[in-house]
Amino acid sequence: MSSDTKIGSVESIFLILTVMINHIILNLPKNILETTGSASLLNIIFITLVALGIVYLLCKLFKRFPGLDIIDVSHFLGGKPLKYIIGILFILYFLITSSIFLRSFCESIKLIFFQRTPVFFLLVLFVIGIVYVNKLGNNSFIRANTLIMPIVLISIILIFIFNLQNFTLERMFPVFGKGIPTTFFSGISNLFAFAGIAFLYFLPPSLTQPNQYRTVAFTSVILSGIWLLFSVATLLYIFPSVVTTDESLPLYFASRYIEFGRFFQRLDAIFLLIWIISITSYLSIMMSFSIHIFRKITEFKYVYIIIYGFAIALLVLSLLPQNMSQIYFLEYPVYKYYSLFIVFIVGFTILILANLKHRKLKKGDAIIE
Amino acid sequence: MKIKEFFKSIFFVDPASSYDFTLGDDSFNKSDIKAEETEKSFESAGEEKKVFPSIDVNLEYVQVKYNTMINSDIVVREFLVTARNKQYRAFLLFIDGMVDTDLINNYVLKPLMLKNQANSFEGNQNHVISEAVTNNITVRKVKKFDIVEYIMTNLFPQNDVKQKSDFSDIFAGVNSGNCALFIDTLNIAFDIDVKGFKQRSIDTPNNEVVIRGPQEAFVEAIRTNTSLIRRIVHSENLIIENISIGKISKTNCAVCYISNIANNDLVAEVKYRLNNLGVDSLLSSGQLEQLIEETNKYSVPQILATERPDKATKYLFEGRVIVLVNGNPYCLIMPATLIDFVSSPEDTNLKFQFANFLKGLRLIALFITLLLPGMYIAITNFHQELIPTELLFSLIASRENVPFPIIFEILTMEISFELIREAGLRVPSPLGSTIGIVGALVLGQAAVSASIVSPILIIIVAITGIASFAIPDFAFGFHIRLYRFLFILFGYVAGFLGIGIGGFVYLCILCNLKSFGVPYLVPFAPVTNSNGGNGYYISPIWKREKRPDFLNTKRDNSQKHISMEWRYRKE
Repeated sequence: MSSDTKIGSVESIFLILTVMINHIILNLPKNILETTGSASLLNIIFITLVALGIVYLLCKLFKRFPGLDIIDVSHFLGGKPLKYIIGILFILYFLITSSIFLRSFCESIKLIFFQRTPVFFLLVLFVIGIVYVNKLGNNSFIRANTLIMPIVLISIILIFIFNLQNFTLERMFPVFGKGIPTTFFSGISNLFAFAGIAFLYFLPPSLTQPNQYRTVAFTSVILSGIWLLFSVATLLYIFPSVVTTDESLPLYFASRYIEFGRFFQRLDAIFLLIWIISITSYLSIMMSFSIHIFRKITEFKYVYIIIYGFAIALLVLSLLPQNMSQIYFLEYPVYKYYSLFIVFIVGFTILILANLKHRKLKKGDAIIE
Repeated sequence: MKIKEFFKSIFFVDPASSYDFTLGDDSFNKSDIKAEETEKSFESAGEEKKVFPSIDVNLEYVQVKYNTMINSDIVVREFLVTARNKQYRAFLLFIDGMVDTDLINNYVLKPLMLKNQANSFEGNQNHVISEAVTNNITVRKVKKFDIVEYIMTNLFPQNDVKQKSDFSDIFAGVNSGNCALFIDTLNIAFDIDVKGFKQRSIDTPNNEVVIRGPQEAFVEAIRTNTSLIRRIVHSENLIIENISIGKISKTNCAVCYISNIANNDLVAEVKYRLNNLGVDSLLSSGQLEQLIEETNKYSVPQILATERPDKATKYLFEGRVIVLVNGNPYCLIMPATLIDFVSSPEDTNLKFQFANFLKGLRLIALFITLLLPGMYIAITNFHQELIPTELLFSLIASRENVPFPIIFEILTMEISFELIREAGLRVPSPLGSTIGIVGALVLGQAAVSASIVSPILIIIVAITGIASFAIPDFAFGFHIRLYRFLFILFGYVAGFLGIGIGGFVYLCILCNLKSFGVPYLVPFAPVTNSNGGNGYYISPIWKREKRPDFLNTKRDNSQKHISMEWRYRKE
């Protein structure tokens, strides 16, 4: 987000939703099912409520800093050093997350469609697309994302509806899955699914209607929760948990079960086409956020050169993992705990401390300009 | 130097420095305009000449300026003007072929040259306006004889005569078909409207045919075109401003808008761009379109062109601005969004159900034109599982004897189709259908029989071709046809992955475009209020209450909340 980019409420909601939805397309439902088993639906409802509570706190904490993002707040809290540290942490978060995501997705589509194509070629195709749209400017892909997301959301619902005939409802039993402690205590770590909240730290200066921040935050979390529920339900009711853990792109495999008579038996490629567009959009947004933070902390005005630099970094980072097990390790435990650390610990700590400092300085409810 | 600039454009572009006009914002700096105007006035200061009192000097100046010795159609007619029984030397300047000679003979030369009641009347030289007597002293208010006023009021039985003192204004009039009258001792000249050149009469539209709707189209003459608009709008708020473009051609353009509807910023921006064109000549609206568009980089048209006055006025009522170019039967409508390019003038005349059905078809046609060949190549090369098994068998069987790869096959056929289309347009019209039949039927059949291409490919290319004709706007259809080749390439390189990434980039390009400050994909991206019948599909006529939100017009509503008052009127 360059400072001159203004985003409407609908665009912002889809922006936050895009993180969750694209991770749903990749492996998120499978990872949740792995943790909480047949209690995943309960767990999702639970973590959605927790996420709503977190968002409520976030809105409260940002109340004293209207029009400021987390970088500005950290500058207020600890001056330039803290601004740099927080900026670099978030840049690394966006960059590493997207590179792992990119590699994982490319490995999956290589397996499905391009067995004889080197993964490097697929990565480069994505990177070229991302560079091009970033050069066009933030407005372009944020608006494009707004057009794409409804189609992606519908595609997930369609997979759910068209697979109703394949559902085995008994798979939701036992309701508490691996037990109440796993569902509600260790299962809280599934909160990483709401990593899209990270965007909320950077939205305040970009919203066309800043008073809509609260609505944007709550709506996006509720919609994320609903779609996570749909996707996890689809997987839970179709696949036995043993199969679920083996497959990459589980939702894609769920789409393979869809058939209409003898004529239309394999519509999965259509879904994949929609998701490829969505993933390009997601990766473009992630890179744009990294670039925005970088520009903000360095005040470097030539954006093209940063785009090329970050694109090379994205490509190199995505090429680093040697094999699928490394990718899986980075994609699940590393991404999960890094997300939890950055989004829910670092961000919150900064905001709480900044609020305390503000109270100490102002001794009241005045706002920071 | 060029290499340096190339690298600079790749790496060191500061997006903030690019021109970005947003509707409703006071984004363009008025001081810049002033600076430009000052510069312009300096440029032309040396050329501005006033009319001399001596007729000989004027005559010489005109003859030199117009090169009358070699210019065959420039006519300088010298004669003597009779006014109050006195004779003055005078000359008329006009361009043969652009004036009505009968008008000049009967209403300019006759009243001025021949003796008649008006010019032979000898009254008092000084005209007493009022008289008052005080203390036996008579005070008279006298108006002295003024030959200019006398000629204007008594000798010209003409409806449009103007006094001009600058040669540049006089020449502009003469160049557009007026005649100029210079009279000895006067430091002004008369600019008399005697236009009378041959022009095409109003005809039916050739390229935007509708079934239920007006059957008249713009012609080349700008005045006829403005009258066509006036005849529909019937409002004193319709403003038609003239701007001449081209340092040499001085082509007349008319900026039309409804002053109590159109956004002031929009009107100012249109005029700003038109007034700041450094071209020598302007020959067509197509040229002008390219000169005033935000960007020409992606071949996406951002200004709508139409030959239909009803379509133009529909947009005028919405609050848009239209520009007419003299000598061109197309007007430009700005700003334009993607929806406008997929809408047909027929939509206004049809019931909303029919119009929406057609709009749905056009949307399908758009996707087919852009994506079908690319999808075909992607599916046959990478995603065969998508094709039902029976169809896959017949498809493979039909390709069995074809020796070429699919990409070669499809490119050959697509290019052949474009050739047939182009040839059909260029050949004389009676031969057009023959070209189509020979090209499409005979060649296609022969190509299949010779196993050069597969029959399924002929079907794909034919469907794509037919679909491309369903796109109402020529320029947009052309753009889609061009980008279709890119998607063929994307599909060939990486199947759905290529089409997906390419499709997203294309969507971003569209989202990035603006037409006079209005985002190209409104009301969808950015999301704006599309209620009141301003979305892609149109609402029933009684629900189209609002003008497009993105135009920020002065009047939001285009009709009452209850437009069919007769239905709800209480006795």
